[in-house]
Amino acid sequence: MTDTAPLLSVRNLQTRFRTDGGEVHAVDGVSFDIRPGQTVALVGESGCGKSVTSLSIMRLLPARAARIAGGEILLNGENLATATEQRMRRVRGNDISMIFQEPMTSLNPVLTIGRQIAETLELHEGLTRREAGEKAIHLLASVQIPEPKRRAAEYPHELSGGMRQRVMIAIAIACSPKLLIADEPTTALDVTIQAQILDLLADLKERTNMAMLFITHDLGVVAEIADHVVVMYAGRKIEEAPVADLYARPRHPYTAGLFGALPVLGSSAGGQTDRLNEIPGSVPSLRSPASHCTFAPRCPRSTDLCRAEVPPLAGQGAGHLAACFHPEPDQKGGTA
Amino acid sequence: MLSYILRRLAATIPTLLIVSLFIFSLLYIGGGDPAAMLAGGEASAVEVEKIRETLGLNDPYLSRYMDWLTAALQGDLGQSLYSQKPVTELILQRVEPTAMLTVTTMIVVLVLSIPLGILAAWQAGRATDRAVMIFAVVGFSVPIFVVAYVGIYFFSVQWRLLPVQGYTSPFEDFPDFLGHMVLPSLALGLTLSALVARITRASMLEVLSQHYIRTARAKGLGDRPMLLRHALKNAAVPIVTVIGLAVATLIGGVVVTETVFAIPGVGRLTVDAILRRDFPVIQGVLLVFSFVYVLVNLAVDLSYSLFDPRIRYR
Ligand SMILES: Nc1ncnc2c1ncn2[C@@H]1O[C@H](COP(=O)(O)OP(=O)(O)OP(=O)(O)O)[C@@H](O)[C@H]1O
Ligand SMILES: [Mg+2]
Repeated sequence: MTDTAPLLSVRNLQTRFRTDGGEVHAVDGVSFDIRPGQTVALVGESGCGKSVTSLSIMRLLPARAARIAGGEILLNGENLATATEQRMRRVRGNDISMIFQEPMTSLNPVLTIGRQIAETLELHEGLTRREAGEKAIHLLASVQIPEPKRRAAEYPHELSGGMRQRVMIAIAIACSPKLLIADEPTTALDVTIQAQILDLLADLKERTNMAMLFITHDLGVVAEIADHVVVMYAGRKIEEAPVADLYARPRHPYTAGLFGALPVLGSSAGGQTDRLNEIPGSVPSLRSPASHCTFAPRCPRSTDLCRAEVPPLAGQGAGHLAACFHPEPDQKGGTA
Repeated sequence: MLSYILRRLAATIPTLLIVSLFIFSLLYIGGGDPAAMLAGGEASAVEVEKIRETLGLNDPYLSRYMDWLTAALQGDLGQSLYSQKPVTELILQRVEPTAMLTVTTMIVVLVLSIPLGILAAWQAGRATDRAVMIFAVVGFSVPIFVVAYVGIYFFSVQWRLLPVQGYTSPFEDFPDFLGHMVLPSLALGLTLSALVARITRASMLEVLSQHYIRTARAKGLGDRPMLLRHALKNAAVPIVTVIGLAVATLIGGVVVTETVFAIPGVGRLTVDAILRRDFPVIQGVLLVFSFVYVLVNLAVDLSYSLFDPRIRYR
């Protein structure tokens, strides 16, 4: 599995925001790979840099406030971090698509659903307006929207939140992207609708071999949909592992804390809502690059070493990395 | 939709009644005796009284108002005290230059302000944006007659590129018409362009921060379709509103502009009528302006549904 060439390889990504109080290191040296067809989940507390990571990949950061200060974003070997805006327009919506957390406001209120889907097809596939319009109806059907022909002529305000997120998915998959970035796509939806959207995404993945970067707070969802998990804390990757391994043997105390109440793996009863566990304390400010383990002030296992040096990422088994001087012992009795 | 229009029109009737009563009363608020004015300085009291009688100035106030209104509704706005011609005819003769000036001015405003506003919002915070904002502030503060006289001095007197004053009908000589319209429309349009550009910028900025703009960019759209297809239509309602207001303020500006450029339009008619205390003409013009104003407002309201499918009229 590890020997397939990665589709997307994020290496040592550094994304910074200019603010009145100085530069904020929102993403500080994050690396991970996504292979074709693989689903990688990105988890972590609010504000840890998940959205900034995904917007960096899309190069959709606010132009004047944010910059990619270092690192590489390799899509099939091509570095998107330094690609021209011209080139990025060919990549967006075509090679990499994105769906967002806010289905109610992510569609344009003054354009019909059909138009908004067709537009992408005209842009990237060079279809005529008519061909694109017809394909848009097929796409609506493929995201299981009933009466797609009628719906295509409607405006977003005539659709429910779940329907709108389906439309967003239809737009995202219109040009068969190699990678779909889903930034908390179900957070704003009712539990039953969440399950339907997840089923739809799982189904699409099965049909298309599309890779996915799935950002979420929901551990139930991670267990259900992801192959591999990247855990972020305060702008840094602090652990990553294949999903089963992470659930069985979380090594970083932060991950262990998050997974305090582990959902039973495989119990994919749709709509599980185990939120990440509350960990006492708060996320540190990201004003300066880390000079020690940023989790140390909240960590039950921290020592003087943790407060003096940044722990490097160290191997914890096949595909399993954790940035901790004192990783959690292997409770299941396996070897580290 | 049709029933909505009818109901909206019906709702303007009370407004128009109040306005018309006010306009009618001007004759008495304004002081001065029209009969005496018309008779001239040397007329005897008997002659003045005779004129007053023929004009019906001795009848009770409300009954005169009712008569005046009934006649006005039938298109009869009375007779000019000065030229003795029907006011309706006088106004109709002057409508064309004013209508043409309004149209050319609105073209100037639209062509200038909307692209500038979009450009400024797109380049927010950069030099282009600052330049547009400076234009907006300066353009808004310079009085029409200053622009007019500076324009006449350079373009007409110094460089002899444009005619100084006057008007030619587009149906007679179109190039000459355009030549005559350039300076008046620029003078009249500058202030309004500044206003509309500001509102366009503000409205576009608001829209550009919306999630659906991020979606448009995530699709791979370039700036042009993002701005024109996705943003502008969403930003349209405040822009159309302010354009409606601009047309309304234009009515005031027309009076100044037509005077400076000696354009024989309704504005000039108004000025002349005021100087001569020709009350039937003043009343007639004001009545027509009020009616146009109400219609413009209605048109603006109705246009909202063109831009935003969430707005429906029932
Ligand atoms: N526009 C901005 N200006 C300044 N700092 C920003 C801006 N956007 C994000 N940040 C910084 O980046 C950090 C990470 O934000 P991000 O939106 O990626 O968090 P997240 O992990 O997606 O959180 P959530 O789960 O709430 O969506 C924030 O804590 C904040 O410090
Ligand atoms: Mg986020």
